[in-house]
Amino acid sequence: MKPHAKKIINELCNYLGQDLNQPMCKELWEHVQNCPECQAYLNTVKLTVEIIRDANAPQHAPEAVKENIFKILKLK
Amino acid sequence: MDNVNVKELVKQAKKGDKEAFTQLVHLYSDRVYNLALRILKNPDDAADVLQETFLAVYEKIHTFDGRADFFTWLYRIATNFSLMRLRKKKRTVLADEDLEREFDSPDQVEISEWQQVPLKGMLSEEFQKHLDEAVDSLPDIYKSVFILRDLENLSIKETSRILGITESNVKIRLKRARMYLREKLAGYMSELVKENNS
Repeated sequence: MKPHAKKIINELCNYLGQDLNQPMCKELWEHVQNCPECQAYLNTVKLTVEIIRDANAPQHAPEAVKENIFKILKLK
Repeated sequence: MDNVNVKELVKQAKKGDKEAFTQLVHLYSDRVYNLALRILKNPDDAADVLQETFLAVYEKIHTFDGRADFFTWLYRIATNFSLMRLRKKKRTVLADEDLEREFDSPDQVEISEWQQVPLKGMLSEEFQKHLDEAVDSLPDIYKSVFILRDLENLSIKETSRILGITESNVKIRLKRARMYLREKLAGYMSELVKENNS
């Protein structure tokens, strides 16, 4: 893949923290919306987040630790 | 979680009601534990953070003024304990410049090849390890934003309050963290594609 999409998204990223209505930001955003390469790149970023989320499924806190908290604080 | 109920529990806990505090521990311990586990990647450390957090909350609950949500306040304490513990560990963390360099490197795998490798739902132990290392190598300021926003599903506003940074900073750090992780994953995929083709 050409570095095009990465470069655009990276620049956009730096602007996103600023005012979204800035001309440069608006221009970049419009480009991303209409560029298949940028869209495909963004999809791979989304997929990355989903995969990491799947790999970090929620777990239950150990009951023994909760019991220890209650014991230390004399709550029971 | 019922907000009014939590407010009442916090109110009672501040007055020293032990039963109310016990209920708060039951309500939030899973979330505190998961947050710590995601930051520290170690169940024993996460368990220690869980305990430290609620002991600190018990001691300081009289200082909670109710201006922020109790949850935000609690998460801030848990995040700080987790990050303090993380900093004590010897690990390789990237500098900001390294993160930037990742974005500039040529892509190691074609986007079309992402569809060829069935990544979702196929988490091998090796792949899981690779992902953990990638997240762990993020500088703390990026890692904490990524975990709170993308793994804990908190809003930009909540994340900014917990970390004490502006919402703009949350957005910038989040985008950089996501792009960096994407590049790391692309690197791993490149190895998978090569293996498949050999």
